[in-house]
Amino acid sequence: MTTQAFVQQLRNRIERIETSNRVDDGQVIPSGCVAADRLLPAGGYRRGTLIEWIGSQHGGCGADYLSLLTAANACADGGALVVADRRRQFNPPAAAAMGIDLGNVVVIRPPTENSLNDHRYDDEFFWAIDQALGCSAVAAVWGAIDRIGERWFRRFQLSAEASGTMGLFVRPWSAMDQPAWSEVRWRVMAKCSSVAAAAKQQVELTLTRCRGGRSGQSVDLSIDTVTGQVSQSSPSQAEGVRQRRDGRLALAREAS
Amino acid sequence: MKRILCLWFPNWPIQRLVIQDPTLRKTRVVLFRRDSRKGQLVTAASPLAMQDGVQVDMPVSEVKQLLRHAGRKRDTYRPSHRMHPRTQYHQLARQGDIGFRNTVRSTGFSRNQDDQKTLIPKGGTATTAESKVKEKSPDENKFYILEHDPVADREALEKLIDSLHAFSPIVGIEQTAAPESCFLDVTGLDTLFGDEQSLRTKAIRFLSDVGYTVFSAIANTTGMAWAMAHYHRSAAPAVCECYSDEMIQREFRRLPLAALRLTVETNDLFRRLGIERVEQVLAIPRMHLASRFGDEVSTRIDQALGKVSEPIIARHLPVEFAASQFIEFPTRDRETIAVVLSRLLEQICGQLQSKQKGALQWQVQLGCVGAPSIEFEVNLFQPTATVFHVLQLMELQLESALKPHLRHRRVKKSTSKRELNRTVTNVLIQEITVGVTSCVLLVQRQRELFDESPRLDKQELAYLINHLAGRLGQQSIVYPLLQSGAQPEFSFRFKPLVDPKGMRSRKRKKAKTRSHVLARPLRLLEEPVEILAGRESEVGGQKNQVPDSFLYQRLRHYVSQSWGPERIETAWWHGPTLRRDYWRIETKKGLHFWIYRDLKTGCWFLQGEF
Repeated sequence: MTTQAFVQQLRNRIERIETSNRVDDGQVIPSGCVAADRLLPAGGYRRGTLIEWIGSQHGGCGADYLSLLTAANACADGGALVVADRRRQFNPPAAAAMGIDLGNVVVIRPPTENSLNDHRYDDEFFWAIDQALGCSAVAAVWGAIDRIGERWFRRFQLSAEASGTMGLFVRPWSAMDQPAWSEVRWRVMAKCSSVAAAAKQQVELTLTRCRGGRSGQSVDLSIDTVTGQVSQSSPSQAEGVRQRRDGRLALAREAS
Repeated sequence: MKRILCLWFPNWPIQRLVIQDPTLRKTRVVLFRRDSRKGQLVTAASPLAMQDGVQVDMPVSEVKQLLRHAGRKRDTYRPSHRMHPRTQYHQLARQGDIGFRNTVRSTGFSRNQDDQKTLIPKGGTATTAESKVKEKSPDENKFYILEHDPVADREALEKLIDSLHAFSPIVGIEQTAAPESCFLDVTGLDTLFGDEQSLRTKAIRFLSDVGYTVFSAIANTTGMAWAMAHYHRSAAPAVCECYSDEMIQREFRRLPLAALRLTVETNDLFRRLGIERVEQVLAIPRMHLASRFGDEVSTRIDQALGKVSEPIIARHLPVEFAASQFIEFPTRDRETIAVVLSRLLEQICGQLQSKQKGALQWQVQLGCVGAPSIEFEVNLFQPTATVFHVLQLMELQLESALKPHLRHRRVKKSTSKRELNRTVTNVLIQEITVGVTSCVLLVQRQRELFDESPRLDKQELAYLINHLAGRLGQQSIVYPLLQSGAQPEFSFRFKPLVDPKGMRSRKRKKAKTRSHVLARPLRLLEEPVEILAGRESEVGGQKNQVPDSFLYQRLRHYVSQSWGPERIETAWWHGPTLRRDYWRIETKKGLHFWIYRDLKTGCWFLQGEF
């Protein structure tokens, strides 16, 4: 047995110990982008796991789209999608345009605007997410979570493992330093697009945490706003972006 | 336009007694009330008693004299309907009514030689047919004086009105101290019965078959329907004519003043002033009416003419499945309440299961001693008759319902020296009632043993939704519904999943196909944020150009690229027209936002994040 095979065997055994409670039917959920799937050890996400997308505080970086694309794939075989809409900003027509069946969507949202900044509501909200993650009839729970305690996150993980539901959370930059119980954590950085004519959103996706995989890998993605397809940026585009960034840096250096 | 059917049961206290005991129909019945100053006064009297001169508010002593002079004989009323059938039989046997005089038996009687119509009991005296006729009639000469029971009257009327739900879902009782009428909202129901007239006829026939005398009228308002039913000739059950709206309006004006449902004092005052008809009151300027009589007259006129709405206080259908537990020694203990609740729940679930029904809405009432009762509802997403599932939800609701009344108390156990913390309520709970207010037939589904994905288990999802709605509230667990409309914030809405009054099935509406999959942002701000506050210096030179930079969340974003505009205009029937030019913009950091320019004001707003 080669060293590589031996390491892989050990890795598999450790994974089995770590995820002994997980309901795993062996199904792999694609992320919606082949390039991103290649970075993951199983070639996609496993059911019963938590996945985080760390994006910009202000939104608009494409993390919402990438995470919801995974949610749509998770619901392809049936099961409900629970949207945890703490900020009351979920836009159903946009989700429907992505191909999500709104007939299978359950939205958890605060009843009034007053409870938006009421931290007393946080526990109720997390309890609801935990319940949804523990329900086997739910395919995925998707939502934006700003701050969360470790205990709640661990409960999320246990519930998701027990039921096989996926937890897909979009989180701000501040969550980078916080401990996580997620299986995969992506950092999503928006990039300037090079071609002005085509409406494409450029994103740099970095794998900052992945159980059983190599963290630190990144991939440049391009989201086509017309077709909704996510593809790896062509070298020329990536080069163009890099040149523009370098140019800006040079200009900034000259100015300083 | 609303259509209200008013049913009036004239002389309701007497009607109730006569229906309960039909033997009273041919007698004189007088009901009295006790007045602290005037003694016993007549409240109601049967038509025969009225013919003998009995009037309302007459002293009872006078009634006795009057009826005795008329040759009537007072009798003590023994309500037969309240007696046990065996007791009734014995009483009649003691009076000799059974087997001898009224009942003819082939074995017990023999005919006389002279062929007279004489019946001779075995070993008894002969009784002629004439004397028998005379003996039958004394009931007609009897009169009864009974005490009026307004509570029983009201209860009987409410019970009767509950049976009228067959004609209308909204049935209400007249809001007075001694109600005699009820209202049915028959708006749009005429098609189910043919027309309004046949609806009215069917309702009257339904009541007259039981023996009630009903006067009825249909009008646009509650006040007018009441007036027509009480004072117009067309309301009589024998006539039952139908008038057009204009005719009703005209006839209403000719009715006596009492048709306006004014108080006795106001009516007397008007009579003294020589005003006797509605049209005379309507001719008086409103200002004068208000200064002289206050709001009462104006309100009643407006209610009758439909200028002020007068809702019908609807009665709910009696609960089919209900269980109640009276606690002999009222309790404060939270655990005891939960135990009693679970027992009641088991009872009801057993009843539901035997009828293959599932409950959608539960109502729990905790009767307190010396305090208003605590009530709460448990609404479900899918019908169920499972004790465990409903108990869990009920526990959640009970917790929140009792929250303001709960406190902790240290209790010392007699066997051990340890102190226990027990949760008790501030109020004493004496009675616990659990009822099902909405239930449907359960659909049985065969479950597969293998190869069934747990994600397709609808029952599991229903449990989750019930559980979430039970704790967070119905308004927090919603589903999206797409709507037609160009304005982004009104192109969808959220509806509660657990809504006992709403529709059960979710309508699936196809999403509008757009040229761009990402034409709309996934995050849409509830209120668009103004980003430039109309500062022209920051806006580009041309009107159709997006701003170079903008301030959002205390950060300045520099725009590098933009795509648009997409013009959105709302239709005139949605209120004031909105005209907006939407742009998708990319900042120099690569963030994508959705902004628009209000073409009316020229201001820029940020509405979404991609």
